[in-house]
Amino acid sequence: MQTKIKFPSKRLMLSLFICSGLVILLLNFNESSNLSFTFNALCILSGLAITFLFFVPSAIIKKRTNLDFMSFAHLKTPSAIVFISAFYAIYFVWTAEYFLLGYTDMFIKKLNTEANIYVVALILLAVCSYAAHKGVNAITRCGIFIFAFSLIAFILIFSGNIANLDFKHYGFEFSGNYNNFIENTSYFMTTSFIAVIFACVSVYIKDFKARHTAFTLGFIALLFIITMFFAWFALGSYGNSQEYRFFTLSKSSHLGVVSGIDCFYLSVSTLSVFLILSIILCCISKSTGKSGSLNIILLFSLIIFILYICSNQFNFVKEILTNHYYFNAFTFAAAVIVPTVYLFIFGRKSYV
Amino acid sequence: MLIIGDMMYNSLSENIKTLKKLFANSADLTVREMLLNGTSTVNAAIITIEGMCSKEVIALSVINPLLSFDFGVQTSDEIIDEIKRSVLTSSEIVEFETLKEAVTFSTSGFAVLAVDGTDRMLAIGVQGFSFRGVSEPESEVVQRGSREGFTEPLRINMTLIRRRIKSPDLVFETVTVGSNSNTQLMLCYLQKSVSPELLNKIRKRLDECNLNTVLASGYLSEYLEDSNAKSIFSGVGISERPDTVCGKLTEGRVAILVDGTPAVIIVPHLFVEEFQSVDDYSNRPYYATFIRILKYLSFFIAVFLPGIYTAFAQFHPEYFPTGLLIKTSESIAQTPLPVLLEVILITFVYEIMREAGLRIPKPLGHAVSIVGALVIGESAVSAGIISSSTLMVVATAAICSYVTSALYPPIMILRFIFVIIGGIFGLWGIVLTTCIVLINMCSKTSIGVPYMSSLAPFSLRSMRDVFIRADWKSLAKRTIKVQKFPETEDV
Repeated sequence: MQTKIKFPSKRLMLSLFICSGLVILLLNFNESSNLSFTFNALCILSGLAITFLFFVPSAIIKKRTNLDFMSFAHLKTPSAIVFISAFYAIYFVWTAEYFLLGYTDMFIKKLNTEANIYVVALILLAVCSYAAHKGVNAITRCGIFIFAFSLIAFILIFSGNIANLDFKHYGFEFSGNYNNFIENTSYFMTTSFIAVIFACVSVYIKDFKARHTAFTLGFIALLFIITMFFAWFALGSYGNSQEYRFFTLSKSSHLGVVSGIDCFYLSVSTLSVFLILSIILCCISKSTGKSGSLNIILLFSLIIFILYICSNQFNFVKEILTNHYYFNAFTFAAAVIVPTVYLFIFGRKSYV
Repeated sequence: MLIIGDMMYNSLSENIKTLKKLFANSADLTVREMLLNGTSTVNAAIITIEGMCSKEVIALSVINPLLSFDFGVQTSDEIIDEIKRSVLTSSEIVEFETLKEAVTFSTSGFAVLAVDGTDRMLAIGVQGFSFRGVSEPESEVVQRGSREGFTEPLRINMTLIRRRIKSPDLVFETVTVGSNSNTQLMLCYLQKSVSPELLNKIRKRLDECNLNTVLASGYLSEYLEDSNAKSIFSGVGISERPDTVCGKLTEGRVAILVDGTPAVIIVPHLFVEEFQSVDDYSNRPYYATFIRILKYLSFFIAVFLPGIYTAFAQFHPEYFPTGLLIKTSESIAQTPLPVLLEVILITFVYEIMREAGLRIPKPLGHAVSIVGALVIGESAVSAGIISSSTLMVVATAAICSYVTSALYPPIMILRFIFVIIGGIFGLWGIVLTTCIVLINMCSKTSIGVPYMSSLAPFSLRSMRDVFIRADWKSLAKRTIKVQKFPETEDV
């Protein structure tokens, strides 16, 4: 079902932008109360600057060969591809678990405390499997609609909170220490998984330009900073004590007589997780060398679901899977180390 | 055994016998035998299908000249040539030599002239069957613009298009489908605008049509759809308006006229076209833009409103504004059925009434309306079987679904799906089902052109005729051909 048509890189970047949006939607890190908005904004910028560096190896491969890293690896090392495929399949299963667990936790805590999370996960994976089967082109086209809806939702939520902004008690002073910086930066670095997605599916895109990546990351940073700004100055100390601050932000917004537009939060977070899981399943089928194969997609959806059940049964599994330090380390290996090794081994000569 | 492609015999009696056998002595096969004057008389016959030809035209322009002409000393072949050259006054005379052509011409309303002693025959254009006149199509009513609509005979429909595009660029190409019905189709396109690859794809798909009988345009729609595009939305457009078809032709599309039906197929067909109408281009741009936006909103209301209402009432009543929540909860509390069943019930009853209203004779239609309005609208609410708010929601969605009437089938199906999903899984279920529908629509193509073109893949240039309708000065600057849409596959 994967289309042979190549699509503009802007569209993949748009989809990756929405995928990154989920990181801020599921914002649930324990933050010391002495941290200022300016400090957090710096952490955001640092996290996304590092994410930009994660794009470099696969962007070089794309620029030089017009292939993504996965196609390049299939072409250059057909005998060792099983190991590379296995490594990336494991990485993407981890990524899927990372976001699925985060999403269902948010769902059960904030949206519907009586929901059966296994049913939620299973249905979500079934829908994403269908989308992955239709291919990355269809998913990114769908991303345009999700982006349009998310934009409306974000504008409504932000404009519904303008009246709540209060600068009297909180200033723009800079406060925070090194440990806080590492903690927060690593949290915002989780967006770097989009670099691995790019490394896997960029063969489908044409007219790749590095500035598209820079713009995308710039917009992600802007979205994160605006969200943080509203969470900080509209919710105040109440927001700091709350889990899922963006949910609280949507709950506290009011437009005239209409208040509590958290249905938009539910919709946007669901659409974002749908997009992430669908693209991840696409990447998995791509890494196995069978793009769009329904059997492969269903098999890996099943593996993700079984692992999801295990992680809910055994807390230590869940802790490992949702630890953003481990996740970032794994992302670093998948986005930077492996592609860089390929770049060094195969040098500049005879790429294709 | 008779093979329909066989050559004709030299003997007239053999030919007549063969044709009668082929038609199994059908009552409408008429054979008028005659003797042609000359030094030695020659037998001839005119074979027609009763009701397909004009009897007066046959008598005046075929039989009369034939019987009054002196053929002198000529062989049968020379007689045929003479008839063709200087006897008949008909403007359309075709010579042929096979049984298959004899059958095709006679069943198409031609008079077939056979002369003893030759295997050549003449088909004379004397069509004169009765048909409905050109009238305004009821399904596509416009305020400003032409009142002409297509009718059943192919030739009249061709004329309606030719009258609007008086250019040699306009081409009609004959295709026959249906092994039994031998239905004639006309591929209609502008040769400078259409993509040759697109045209070849359409020809190939029509060639692969294995139907025995083709009685309406809808029979061919499924053959024209892309094989990987299983969807409840159609990638094949239908119109009964010649002005609409002409507009589409200028954009590089292909129209397929089917003999015997006023519905003309237009391919490729895109989602955004469902929201465009001839009136948009006759009205002022600001008003046309307003109507466009209204249509998009109506589509969303028709699809989502009952589902979202069910989800909110059942799972998220806090999302209703306070005043509305009080009214709605009071109304719902007085009814015995859960909201999901109530919405399904009303929607189902409405669909039954709609279907009944379409099928029953017109004089009875008022009775159905009265029963519907009184029983459903008044009695059911006052008896407390259904709530007034639910009734209002379903009625609003029903009215909105008629704004884009061509999309009614998918709207109806999606509405039911969203009501059921909303009632079981709430808003979350609706969001996920929307994802499935969107993915399905985004992966669909119509003869290689992405079905959601202009929106996804996004084309800023095409936006001047999607949500807004730009003024004619800017629209006229450049017509965007359908094969130029982004990500179109080899067309």
